[in-house]
Amino acid sequence: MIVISEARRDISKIWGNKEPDPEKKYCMLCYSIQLVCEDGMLVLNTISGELILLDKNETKRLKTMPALYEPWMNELIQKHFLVPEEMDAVQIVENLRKILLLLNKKGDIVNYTILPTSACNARCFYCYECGDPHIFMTKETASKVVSFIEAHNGGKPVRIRWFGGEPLIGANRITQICKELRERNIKYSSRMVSNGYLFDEKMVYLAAEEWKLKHIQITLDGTEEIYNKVKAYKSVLDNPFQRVLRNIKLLLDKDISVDIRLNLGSHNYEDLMELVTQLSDYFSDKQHLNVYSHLLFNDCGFEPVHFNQSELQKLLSAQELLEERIYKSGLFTGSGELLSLKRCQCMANDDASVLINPQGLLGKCEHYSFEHLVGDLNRGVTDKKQVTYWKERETLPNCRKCSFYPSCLRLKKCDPQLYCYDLFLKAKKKKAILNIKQVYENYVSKCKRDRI
Amino acid sequence: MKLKYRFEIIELEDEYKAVPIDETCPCGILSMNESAVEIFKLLGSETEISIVIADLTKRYPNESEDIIREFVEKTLDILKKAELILA
Repeated sequence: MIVISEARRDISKIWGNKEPDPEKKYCMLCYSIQLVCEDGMLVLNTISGELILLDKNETKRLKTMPALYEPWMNELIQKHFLVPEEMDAVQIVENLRKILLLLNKKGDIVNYTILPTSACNARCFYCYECGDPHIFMTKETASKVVSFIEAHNGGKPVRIRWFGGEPLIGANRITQICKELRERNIKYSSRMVSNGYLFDEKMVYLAAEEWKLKHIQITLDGTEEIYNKVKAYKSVLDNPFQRVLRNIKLLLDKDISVDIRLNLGSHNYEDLMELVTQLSDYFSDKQHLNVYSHLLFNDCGFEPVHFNQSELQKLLSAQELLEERIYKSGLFTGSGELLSLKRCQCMANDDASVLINPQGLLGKCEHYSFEHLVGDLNRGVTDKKQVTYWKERETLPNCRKCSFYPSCLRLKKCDPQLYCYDLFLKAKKKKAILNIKQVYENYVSKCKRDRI
Repeated sequence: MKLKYRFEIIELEDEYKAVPIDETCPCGILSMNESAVEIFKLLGSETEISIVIADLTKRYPNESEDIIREFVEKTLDILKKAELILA
């Protein structure tokens, strides 16, 4: 057995090493992902995040499980890859989560989703924010944002996610907030969700140097004609599709990683296949780029889509083909992050995260920037009832047996989480496997370099 | 005597983890077995060593009082050295 990637330190500290019990029968931990490879079998423990490589002999022996203890099992038992048959894996996951939550109870807020504006320069028909008021954050509110961060980050570096509307419309507020953070010696890095249209060379430079932008998600809805039609930008004089592609190149050249999200619906799934071909030519030499698809949200926007069961199945199948084309084009190389136990699903149930809307009000979900709010910049998080409302969990019938259970917390208030299809799980597993392959390839390359 | 800090006790496989809730607690997570957990729970409120011994003797009738006393004293010693006991 070789350890390719060690277990997460915080989980190791709690879970520790398990001493083998010669009286017990052992089986493979149900929360694991296995991948046969040339050198044997890679196994990921999806609780601890540890990735190991078993040689062909060890792989053969695993086929005899469940089996009574034998000395060859020692390391696998210590690292929780082999567990007693009677062990309640769900209980382990939930209790580890409880412990992680207790250890993080300090209350420091280090993740901020900030909306410098809720206005947008596009008019996508499916946008779930179409009913939101168009508000611009004032200079005074932006200063209060920085004061709030200073009062709540516990001296730690903060991660900011710029959101909107279209956050680049509030670029001056972004610059102001970043400047004031630096003046108060608060370390920060940022990410952004944007349509990418408003960037130019100067703004990309500003984003890299002053906003410390590390990553951006940009949506493309199709090839040129469909994209320009769907986005329906207000008052444009150029070709938005071409402009956004150029801007993506500018961002990548500045080492800002880019995720291109393909919003998929019945109106564009064939066109997106063509787009992937174009993207693979346009960005053939670029690194730090990942392309992925996402189904449109049901019943959102000023022309809401609603998929019935059969339409949804059709779209899910189309998505599978689209994802296949994306992988074959080399446009998704994975994040290199291995699955492991999640303490929180998202900001909704994470006390270390908060959303700040343009009015300076505090929220817990970017789908509800003006509703179900939990406080404001002056008084902090005050509505404990709303905070609890956001944390309520839901479990689907097959959740507990699913190998993704440790890394997936279903929240009651999250509509997209109220269903889980086989095709979703298939796509999820594919991504997990890609990441495992990436980590292993990096390990092998490193070993070769070290030998030289 | 009682514990200086509050802990929450969570079972993990066949072990117990005492997780400190108070930010000022100097120690991290403590791992313990079932009998140590009983001592911990009793020390959650003001108590006497004699009460702790009496409680454990009731829970483990097959063990002699001397062995239980020794165990309790050793455990208290460890906790005192770690400055977790308010005398």
